[in-house]
Amino acid sequence: MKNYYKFTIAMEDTNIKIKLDLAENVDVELDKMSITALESFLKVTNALKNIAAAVSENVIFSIEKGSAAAVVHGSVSEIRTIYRKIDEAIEGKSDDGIITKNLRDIQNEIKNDVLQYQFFYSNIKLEERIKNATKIKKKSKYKSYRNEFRILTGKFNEVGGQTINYHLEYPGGGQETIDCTISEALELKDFLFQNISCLVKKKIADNDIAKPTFIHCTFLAADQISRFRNFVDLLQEKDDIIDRLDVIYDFFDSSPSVIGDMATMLKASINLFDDINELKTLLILSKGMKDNEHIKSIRNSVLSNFELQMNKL
Amino acid sequence: MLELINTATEKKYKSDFIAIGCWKDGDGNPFHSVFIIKYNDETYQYHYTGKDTDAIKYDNDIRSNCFHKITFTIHPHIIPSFIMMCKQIQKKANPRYGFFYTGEYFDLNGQHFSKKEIGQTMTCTGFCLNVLKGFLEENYIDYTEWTEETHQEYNYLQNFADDHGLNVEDIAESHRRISPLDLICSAYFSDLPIKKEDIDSKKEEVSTYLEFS
Repeated sequence: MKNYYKFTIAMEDTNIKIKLDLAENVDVELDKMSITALESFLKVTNALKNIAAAVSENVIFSIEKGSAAAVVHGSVSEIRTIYRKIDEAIEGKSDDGIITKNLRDIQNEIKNDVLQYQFFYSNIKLEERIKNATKIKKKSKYKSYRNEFRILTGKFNEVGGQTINYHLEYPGGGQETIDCTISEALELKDFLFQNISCLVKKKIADNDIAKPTFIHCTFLAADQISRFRNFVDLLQEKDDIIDRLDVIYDFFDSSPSVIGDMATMLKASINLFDDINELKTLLILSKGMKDNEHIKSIRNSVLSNFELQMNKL
Repeated sequence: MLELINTATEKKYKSDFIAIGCWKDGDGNPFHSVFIIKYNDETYQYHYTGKDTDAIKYDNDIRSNCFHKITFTIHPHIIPSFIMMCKQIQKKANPRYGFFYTGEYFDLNGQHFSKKEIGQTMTCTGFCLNVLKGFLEENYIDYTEWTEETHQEYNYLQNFADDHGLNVEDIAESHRRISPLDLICSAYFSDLPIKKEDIDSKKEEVSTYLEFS
């Protein structure tokens, strides 16, 4: 039999509540709980306790009848702080490992098809947001930056460094250092002292203290520059994955040179795309030309990268 | 535990999925193949109707005689890329030339498939198989196992090729010989390519279930 859980986290101004309504299609009642219902309820209760305890030592808890509900009570500001911590974690912006780990435990129970939960703070319902959130995890310290994609043009000189990089010297003076791999540096070496254009990822620290760094995505031929500039500009405007995939399809639909642009996009994909659906879409689009000499080897490495990421899921 | 679900009435499964679906007739025989896609709490169907215009449908018009089985060959995380591929096929496949369409958008030379004149009209099942073939890196089913003998009409493929001025090699994977029942039974397997003997092993159970539900 298919399972159906219903969880609610209910909250008033001075409390936050999570409530298990249904387990395996049976209404949950505190005085006669099935093994499945009890196991799940204990998990979320414990997780809620851990989240609240991370914010304040003075909160208290109650377990309520009528389905099964765990409630944390505290002052308005304590409860509001707990709510903000939860909200931040749902948004993927929390760097608090205790909050994210315990909220992830709650998320797993809410997502379980045999359980139905509600989760409330005041009249704010959280269960749908938690269910639809991507896997809740601690924001990495290393990821406290945002990315912008730029096309830089300059005189290519000086490859090297302890970490591999190259320099682009601007016509008016000044230069940028761009991190790359050895194979990317080798691909560019024939352009020494010539003007080239590259698509690069500019990593900008959120705190604006650390200097931005540049990472090589791909070399662009002269005729590719305006298409790729247009493409990354459009891509950066879109957050929704469906919209982003649309931008990828539109790019190739209007490309006058599909093979060349595909080879370039596949090369850029490792640094340009974060979502596995973007890699999958490139693989679908390039499947018919997978044996083309310009596509074959780069596509194989994108495919290995894709499969590696799939295996981690 | 057949996990074959009546699409219109089943509301319990909350996670996103891609399923293979079929419509059954009054006797319980599957006569039409569809995809059932659940994404962000909405259920969609995607299929080829064989009509002259707007032949490919992506909509919410779930029929009461529709049954589906979730396929584990497509991970829920990559449903957005599946949906986009479906919508692109819907937008670009050329009805006049039928649907010998694999979802591989460009050929070896980068030429768009919709610009090619491949004259082949497919069945609803063949359409679904082509979509899966285009989406997955590996072949979905082992086409070579569906020999001429599995088709009721002698020399069917050669005749079809001759009639339409096509090379038999070009249409060998057009899968007209594979039925909606074959396709729904394939959804029980996820080791690719799926073997005919595995599909055959499920047919009786699935037929009986559809007849009595």
